Amino acid sequence: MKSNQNIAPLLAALGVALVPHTPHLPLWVILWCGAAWGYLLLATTYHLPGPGKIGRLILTAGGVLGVFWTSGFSLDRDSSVALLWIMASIKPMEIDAYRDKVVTIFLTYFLAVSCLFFSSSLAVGLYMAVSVGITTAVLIHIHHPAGRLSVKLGLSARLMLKALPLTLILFVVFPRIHGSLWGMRSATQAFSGFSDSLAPGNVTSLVLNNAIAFRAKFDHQIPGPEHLYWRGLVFWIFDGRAWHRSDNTVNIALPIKGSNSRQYTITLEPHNQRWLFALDLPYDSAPNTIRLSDQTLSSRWLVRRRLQYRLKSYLSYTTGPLWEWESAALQIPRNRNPESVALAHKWRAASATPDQFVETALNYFRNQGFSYTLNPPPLGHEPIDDFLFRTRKGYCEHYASAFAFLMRAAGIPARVVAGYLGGELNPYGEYLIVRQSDAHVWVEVWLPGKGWVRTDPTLAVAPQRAEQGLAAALPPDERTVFGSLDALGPLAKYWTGIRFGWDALNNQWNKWVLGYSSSRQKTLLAKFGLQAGTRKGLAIAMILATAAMGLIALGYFLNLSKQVASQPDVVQKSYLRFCAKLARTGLARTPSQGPLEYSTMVMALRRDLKPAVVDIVTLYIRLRYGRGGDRGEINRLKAMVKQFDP
Amino acid sequence: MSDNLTPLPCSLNYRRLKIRPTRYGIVFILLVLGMFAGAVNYDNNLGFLLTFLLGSVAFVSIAHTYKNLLGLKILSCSTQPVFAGEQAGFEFAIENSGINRQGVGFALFRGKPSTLDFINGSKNRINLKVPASSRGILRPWPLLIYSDYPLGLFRVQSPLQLEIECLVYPRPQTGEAMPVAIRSAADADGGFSGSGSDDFQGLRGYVPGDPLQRISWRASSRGIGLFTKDFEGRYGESVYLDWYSLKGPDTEQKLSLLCGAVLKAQQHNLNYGLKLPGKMIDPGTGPIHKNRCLKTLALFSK
Repeated sequence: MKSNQNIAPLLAALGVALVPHTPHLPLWVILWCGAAWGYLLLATTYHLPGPGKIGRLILTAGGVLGVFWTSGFSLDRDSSVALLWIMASIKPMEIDAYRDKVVTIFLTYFLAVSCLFFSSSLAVGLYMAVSVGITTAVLIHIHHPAGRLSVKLGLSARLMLKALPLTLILFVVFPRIHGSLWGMRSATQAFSGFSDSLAPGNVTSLVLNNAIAFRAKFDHQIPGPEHLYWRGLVFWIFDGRAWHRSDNTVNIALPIKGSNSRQYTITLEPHNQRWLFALDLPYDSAPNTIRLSDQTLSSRWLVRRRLQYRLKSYLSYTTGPLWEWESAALQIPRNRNPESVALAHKWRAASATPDQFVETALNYFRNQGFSYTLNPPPLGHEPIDDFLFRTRKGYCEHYASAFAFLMRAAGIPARVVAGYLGGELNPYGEYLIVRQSDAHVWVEVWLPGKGWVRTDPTLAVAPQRAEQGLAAALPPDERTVFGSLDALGPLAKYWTGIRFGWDALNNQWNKWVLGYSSSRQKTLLAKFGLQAGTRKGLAIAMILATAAMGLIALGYFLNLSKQVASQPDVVQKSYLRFCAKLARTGLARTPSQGPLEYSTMVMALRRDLKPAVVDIVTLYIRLRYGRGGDRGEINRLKAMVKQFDP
Repeated sequence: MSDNLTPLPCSLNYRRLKIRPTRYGIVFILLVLGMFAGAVNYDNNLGFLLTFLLGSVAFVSIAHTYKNLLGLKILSCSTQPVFAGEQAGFEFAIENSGINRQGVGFALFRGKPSTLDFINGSKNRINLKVPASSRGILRPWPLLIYSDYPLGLFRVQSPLQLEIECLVYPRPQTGEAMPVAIRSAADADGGFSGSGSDDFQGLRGYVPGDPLQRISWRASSRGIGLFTKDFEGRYGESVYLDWYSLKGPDTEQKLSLLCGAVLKAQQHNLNYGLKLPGKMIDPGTGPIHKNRCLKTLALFSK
């Protein structure tokens, strides 16, 4: 193939665009692209034969078939993107014509931007901007191959910087509509978090997941760690092994009395479920959310995109009486776990009050050799019996499950609550980051006079869990699964700082860029007196946007005309100044007079000026019409004109 | 047409610059619109952001393209006469001040375009060739100065109808015989002696264009003017390249043959004149004489 100075930059732009696609592309597509581009580079360098038209056709057909084979002959988003990459691997083989190169560049733009199908994080956004910048530089390069690539990268960066104000204005004022044009395909993204039921091992599987569940920002004081129970779901039905949600939860916000109120904003990552998390115990609800009778919140829609809501919660509270439909809190499967039932009956007989019974059960966990572990032994057919009397090793779901079972067996209403415990304070931005690894399960028992009372049996076994977090509560040999920072030594502090700083940036990005919606736009425009909802407001917004764009455009053009005018020839300026000085003495230059002619006239009329005029005009002619001069000579001309005093 | 001519020197200003998207620009706009539709559909804010960024970059590039041409100054244009069938060359002197400019294209209609980079404060010459197909005066179509630097998505251009022209001589042709009418003594003196071909006939007054070697220096040294030795004969005779000696109806063919004859006569250093219908050029020699003859042929109209 012929050598082509455009091939390497083009392939570089494609390669840069490929990087963020690697996680979701089939491995063979990546290797295929790498092989095609690698061969292309070699072929153009060493003049090896390239694939002809037939060869390209065969390659394209093979690639397309391969993609369909991999995707099981369905055309979804992933396979469409893979097809584009197959195109991008073949297209550079025919870039002899300018047209082909430009088409390749446009394809690169499209591919660079298409990775937002998979992620919209700040990192991806920044990377895409860089990728678009490099692609633009290569576009400049293929259009104007002379000169170094670095100059073009600089120009591309300048273009993007100048485009930034316009971009932001468009972003803010362009009318947003809620919903989609032709319908979204269902996301193939995997969500992590709780599910509809709770079986032993469910929560343990979340612990190693470092993904963020939500971020919480408190208006004022952040509650202490012992209060950071984030309530999500309540489980009512126990089948002997797993806990399930109840159908008889009603959409009634039951009155609660409380004190020590906190107001906060939660930014929930999408989890493809309807339940929302709130600090124990929320007493009002946000728009488009429903407060259920079990004091949990539910969204009207599946949470498929990041959701932000404001809530108020009481840290201390009392709920009312036990409602009729809450009798499910006493249900246990018949004839299961007999040893545990017997134990509960024995304690019930010995306890005067339900409070005392609760204390007995917690003491049992404290004193009977129970331990907190991520790797509990498997449980048999009667899991509660096995756990309470034999294995005695478990994670929070084991303790909560067994505890609630004991309560119910003794006739005390109990329910299992799932959510998160704790949160990491980000000092930049003063908000809490709650991760999947903070997932926790606890129990609520109903006590006369107090209502539903939160009881966390895990704390009986691992009291550090609430105050110091999960890692501290686990036995030492299990802590390493969290990737200890100790290996970094003194650098750990900086690394933590960077991590928090980056998360704070991401939070702002989520809030201001990704979270910018039609309602946010309405609020923002309303601050400027524009009612975006109305037709008139929309019209005004559009006019203002157009005007703003016009002003910016005008700014660009004024700026450039000023630049052209304000970089005049210094030589010419000095000469004009020289002429102006002479004009004041009555020796004006007529427009048709060239410098030689003019100086002859001046010298004839003012013989006294002859030496100065000769010097100035000679130098001027040499600088302007000759080969030009260096800065020193130009300065000399300037100085002479300055001293010239006719 | 002639009253719309732009005089030189001329500087490219806002009024002269026109902008339009190139076909790649149109494709790019469609691409951005497609991305925009995707962003609206998926309600993806990052998509909005990148779509607006790409659109704005294209928009800002217009200003760069504009700036790339604004203020460029064409100082002059010079041409050399050519023969029909050759390429007429137009050499423009261009002055650049203010900024460095990249990829400025110059094109004359039907001519090959030429692209140039300018360094701030430089003067450049650019030579544009236009095929000269027929004799006469070639007035090229407007000079098109254009640039689509940096992105190639938008093109700023300035069509300038300049006061430029190039003289095109007829396409030279050689016939079987020279279209010659020998200047006979009867024509010149009223009587022809028929003496030897190289015979010295006498002196006559110097006429500009006479070959130097024929000047009689001895006669001229008397101080009463220059004298030329007049020879009669094959080598010294004055010849008229004569329109009427050519047969055939085709004017252009005849002019081409005459043009070829002028070149040949000049090459052989003959003393030649030109006879055309309604126009006659007395014999002479030298490049000025030759150009005069060729120009007459070029502009001949019956």
